[in-house]
Amino acid sequence: MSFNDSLKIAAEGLNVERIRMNVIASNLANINTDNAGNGLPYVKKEPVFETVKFKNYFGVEVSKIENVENPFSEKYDPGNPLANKAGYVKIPNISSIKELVDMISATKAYKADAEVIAESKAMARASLKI
Amino acid sequence: MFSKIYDILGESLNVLSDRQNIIASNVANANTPGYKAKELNFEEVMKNLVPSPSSIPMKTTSRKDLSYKNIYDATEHNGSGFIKSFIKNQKDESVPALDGNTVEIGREMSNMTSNAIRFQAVAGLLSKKFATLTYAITQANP
Repeated sequence: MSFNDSLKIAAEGLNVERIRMNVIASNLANINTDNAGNGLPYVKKEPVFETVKFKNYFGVEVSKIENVENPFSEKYDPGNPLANKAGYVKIPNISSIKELVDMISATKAYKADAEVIAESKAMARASLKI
Repeated sequence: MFSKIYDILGESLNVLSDRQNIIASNVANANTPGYKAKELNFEEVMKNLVPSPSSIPMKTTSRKDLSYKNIYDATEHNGSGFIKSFIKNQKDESVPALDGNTVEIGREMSNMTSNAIRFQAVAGLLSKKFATLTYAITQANP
């Protein structure tokens, strides 16, 4: 029954958007983390989406979650134990606005995938009624 | 008794469900960089499955006209290679996003809805066809 294919593909879509949402949550939660365990601030992460062949069709998966290499921002905070001699602390370079926009995009894509599952279900039901 | 129209309707259900799979692929890859949106042209596939309108047995007036030769062999097309040859990249009508992805989610959603409605129409038609047969069978011997 080939409806299983569209259900599986849409489920893969749901899965990658959920992972993307998790990564956005990590980025937002760590937006002020000065020390990510290695003495350096938290580095923004981003999932890499990749098309995978699924029979005749095209599924999707997260191939890896990459660090986004951009220079850290600096904040003047002389009381901070991590501050350098001039009184500046390195903080992660994460734009909350960009993260929120990404979040909206992930939500929309997730809804679209859920809609595909609903329609495929309706089609499968219709064919069972023949 | 089972005319070709059953095969044609059944095959069109198959093609519509393949099309649903393609739309699912596009929606799943809506955020994959470099992914090109695919399409499966229903009319084109059906034209290849049903060679000409005259091969649809609608105008048979006598028993002699009923050809028992299959207009197509339904099993022949079930191989994955057949449908695959009709899966194409969508023609670029809009400017693609910076990451090279060409999926337009609005277009996919409207395609999906029309695809599902078409599927339900064909499924309903097929079930009505069977209902007619059932009627004929049961009413002949009440």
